[in-house]
Amino acid sequence: MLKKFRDILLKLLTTRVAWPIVLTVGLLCTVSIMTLELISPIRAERQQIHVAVGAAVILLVLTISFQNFGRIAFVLYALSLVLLVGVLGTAPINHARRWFQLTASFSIQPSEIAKIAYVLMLARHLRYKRQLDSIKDLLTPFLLTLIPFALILAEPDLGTALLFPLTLYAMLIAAGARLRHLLAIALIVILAAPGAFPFLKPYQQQRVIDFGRSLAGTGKPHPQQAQSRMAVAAGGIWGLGAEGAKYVRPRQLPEAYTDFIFAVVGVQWGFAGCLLIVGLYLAFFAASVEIAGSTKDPFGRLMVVGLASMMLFQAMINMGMTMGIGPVTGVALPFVSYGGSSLLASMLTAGLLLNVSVRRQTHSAIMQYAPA
Amino acid sequence: MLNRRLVVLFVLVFLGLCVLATRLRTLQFTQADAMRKELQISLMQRSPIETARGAILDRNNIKIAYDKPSYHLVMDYRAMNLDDGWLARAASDRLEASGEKFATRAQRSQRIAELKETIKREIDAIPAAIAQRCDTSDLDDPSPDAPPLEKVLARFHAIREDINTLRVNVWDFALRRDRARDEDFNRMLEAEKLTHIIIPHITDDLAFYFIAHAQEYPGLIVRDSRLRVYPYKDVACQVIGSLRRVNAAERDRLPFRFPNLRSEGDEGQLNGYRDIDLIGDTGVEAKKEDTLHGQRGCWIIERGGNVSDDAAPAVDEDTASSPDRRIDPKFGQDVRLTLDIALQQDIEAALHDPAKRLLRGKDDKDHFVAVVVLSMDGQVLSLISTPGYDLNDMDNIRNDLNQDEYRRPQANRALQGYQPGSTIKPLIATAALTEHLVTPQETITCNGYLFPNRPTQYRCSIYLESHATHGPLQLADAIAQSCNIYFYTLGGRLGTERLVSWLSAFGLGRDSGLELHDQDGLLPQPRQNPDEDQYNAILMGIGQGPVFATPLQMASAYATLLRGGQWIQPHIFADTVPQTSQMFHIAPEHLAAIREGMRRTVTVGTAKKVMTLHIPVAGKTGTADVKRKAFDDEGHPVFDPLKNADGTPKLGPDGQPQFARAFTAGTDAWFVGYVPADKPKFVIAAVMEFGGHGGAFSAPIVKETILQLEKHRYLPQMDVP
Repeated sequence: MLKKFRDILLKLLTTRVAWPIVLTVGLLCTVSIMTLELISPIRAERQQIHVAVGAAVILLVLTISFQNFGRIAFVLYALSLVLLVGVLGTAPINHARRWFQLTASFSIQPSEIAKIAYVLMLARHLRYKRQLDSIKDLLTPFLLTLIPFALILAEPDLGTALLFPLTLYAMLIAAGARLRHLLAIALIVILAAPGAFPFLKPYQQQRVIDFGRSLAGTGKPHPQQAQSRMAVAAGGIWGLGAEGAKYVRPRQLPEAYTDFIFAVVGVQWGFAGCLLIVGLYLAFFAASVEIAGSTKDPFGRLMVVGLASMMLFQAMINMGMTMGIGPVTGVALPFVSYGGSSLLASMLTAGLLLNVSVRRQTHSAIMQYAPA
Repeated sequence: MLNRRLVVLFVLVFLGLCVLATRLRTLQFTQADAMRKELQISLMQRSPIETARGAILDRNNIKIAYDKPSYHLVMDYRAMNLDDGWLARAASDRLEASGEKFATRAQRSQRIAELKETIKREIDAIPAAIAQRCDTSDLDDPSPDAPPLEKVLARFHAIREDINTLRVNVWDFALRRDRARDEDFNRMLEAEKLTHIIIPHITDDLAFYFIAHAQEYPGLIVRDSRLRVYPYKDVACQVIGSLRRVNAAERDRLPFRFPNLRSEGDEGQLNGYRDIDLIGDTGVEAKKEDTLHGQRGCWIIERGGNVSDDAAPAVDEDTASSPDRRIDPKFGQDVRLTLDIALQQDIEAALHDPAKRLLRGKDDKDHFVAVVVLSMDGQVLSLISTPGYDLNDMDNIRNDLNQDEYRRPQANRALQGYQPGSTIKPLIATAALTEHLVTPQETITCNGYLFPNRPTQYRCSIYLESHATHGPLQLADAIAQSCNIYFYTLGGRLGTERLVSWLSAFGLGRDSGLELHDQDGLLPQPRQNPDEDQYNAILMGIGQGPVFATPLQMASAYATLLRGGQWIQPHIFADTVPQTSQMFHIAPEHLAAIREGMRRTVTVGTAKKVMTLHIPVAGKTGTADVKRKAFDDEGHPVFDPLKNADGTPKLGPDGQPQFARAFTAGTDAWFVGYVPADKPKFVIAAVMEFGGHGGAFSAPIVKETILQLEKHRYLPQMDVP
């Protein structure tokens, strides 16, 4: 077993495309701890433990080939749907049914599991580019998306639910679906979206209205969002450092250490710090694209695209919300927001990416065995 | 082909991130300073620093109304209603204070939930604790002798009802008018967050107890307050006046507003009124509201400390960089009166002394009286009106006072118009002498009635009593004997037009200049009908007919006469520089004749029986015929059935007999005098409603007042003969 770990580590260190992933994840986790240090030193300490556990999870995931995950993708997907249905039967916490409270201190968020299981399932389904030329062939992928999307929307958790169609698009693009089909469907959905408004929960409707008003410059934005936007701006170019802490105290920004942590980054390190975070995500995505591009195996390649896109979309939605150009949704900033389960899910994603990177059969490797 | 798709994807993500970066640049390059300022402002909390109302002082700087520190027991409305958000905050504050640490969020929220339950139980126990410790005897709801707990619970209920009414009104308004007024909503929201008084003005011991045990009574707060104290209780109560809660119109005229931190240099409107403020209702308290009413101060401090509306925050003065700021409150200024409260107290005490029977009228019942003591330089030393009321008890008796139509304790009778009766005669004499319509030596013969052919009209008072006549009279004796025939004649000679202009010169029928809520009295407008004018002139010659004057106006008119026509503004505020003006000139020999008449009134005339004093006094009696609304002995209004011309009861449209307020006729007893007679220092006017003959019933009051003036060393000391 130990030998196996050693081999994996060696392999990781010698894989060029794995390096940027390891580096960006490490830096994002460092930023997270430094940011938390400012507003909640206790949480910063705990986050260090979370990071250590997360690193172990990465290693653990690396020991199993991603192909094996692919084989049980359907089971995982089905299981995640069962959990999503089951969570709707629990008692609501903060008006939403998102968590299984297992013990007083430990809870599971099925949508986090569903995110990964969904990508595995879709990658499995799309791994051979089967007749994606016809719009009919898109039916199954859309159906696979719609089920978890609807279940998560019912929790309700609009932010997480939105990630599913976005990821679907990224994967369909990568899988080679016709762009004009995708555009047509997107157009239809956008035009039909107002029809869905009556089905939203009153507080969701209110948020959509508030968001619309804030875009139009009238009305009052969500109080936390207004506060976070001001905090980001107040950071200026180089940030206020420790002095900025008083602008993101719990009374003004109760979610400062989870969903609104980007505001703390903004007020503390200003434009420089924010741009660094944006740059790190871009580097992470670029590295993932490189892994995908250099992987021959279609399942691994689609999985990488799906997981990386899911993570990027989540980061963008979160940052957009913090800066007041997106609706307020309860999604965390991957690797940066405080929280064990959120970090665990992100680390699992990173682990799967690295898994592909160390096990992939590259085009050049195939070329080695090609007959001269 | 597939790798090209990956490039497309990468470009899409890159563009998305570029949008975010652009937004970042906009925010952080262009809005940084503005937003930082805005955030700093949002951190600042403004809380008021209470001020104190100025005191009212008498001429010797004795406090007759002042603010005393006091405490209210108040309760947060959200705590009263077990508002979930409030409970959560209270629980989390308690958790912070305890320093407990939790491994997970879930554990913490469970502990919070437990604490919320504890706090709920503690709040439920509060009414019982209040009932047990506080004096609830002042609470009348649901009944004065209900058990204390029921009274406290009724108080809680009343507060909720008030807020509900407000809420219903606001929504009703919003729905009916189809638009909501922001300030109404804000008032509603504020009321829901404000603290409300459960027990006003608790004792210091109780206040200290509840402060020390604040932990056990969540939401219950001891609020600093001020209690208006009137140490002289009912003495000069109508002059001093009382306070009441500010009404919506007054609040909106000058609303309290904190400094707006967003606009540089804005000081807000700290001298404005909040809903809970008191405002002068009557008397000096109302007239000098702007002077007495102070200006609140304001803390502007960075949030984060333990600051609430009810506790002044501790500010570290050393931190120079701190944005904290304090605007000092301005205390209300004192108002000093010319009134001598000790003198007034003694006079009122003498009036109410049963042994002296000074309030007793002809019918041997107590009557309402008014007394004015005016110095020759226009200062009001005493302004008395009975009945009075205890100013300290105002909150409990306000409704009774307002409804007491018979006694009207809040009316200042010294400033209200009466028919002056014969006290007007020296003024008429002045007018007739100066207009050369009579000389001091001319005799006018009194035959008992004015017109030889109408013996039932325009009669002299002694003819009315005993068919006696005065015979031929000169001016001084006409005043001393108060002969009506003489002054009917002068009134007739003067005519309405000249009379009105002369009486106006004496200050009747117009603003006295006192700067209190005093009436102007009444003088007639000359009419078209010369006959009617002539009858009015004859009647006004003896102070009847269309002429009304307040006791203060009469005192001021006599002072004007004694000064030879110089008017000096009567005033009650010590800082008033009185205006003066020469209203007319009177020849010295004419004035001497009138003064001789007023001296003889006391020595041989209508007041000789009661005015024997070691100090020379002069004056004039008055007995004015009046009609007033009738009241029975309990003070209830009396009604008479209306009758038709044939004597049958008049029926209303519903077939029921109709009634009208009954009137009773009587005579108001007047005396206006001055002392000392040879060198006047004070003019004293007294009137007793329905008292009877002025010489008999008002002169003793003036005599007593003079004795009190002497006791208070306002008069030159003389040997008692």
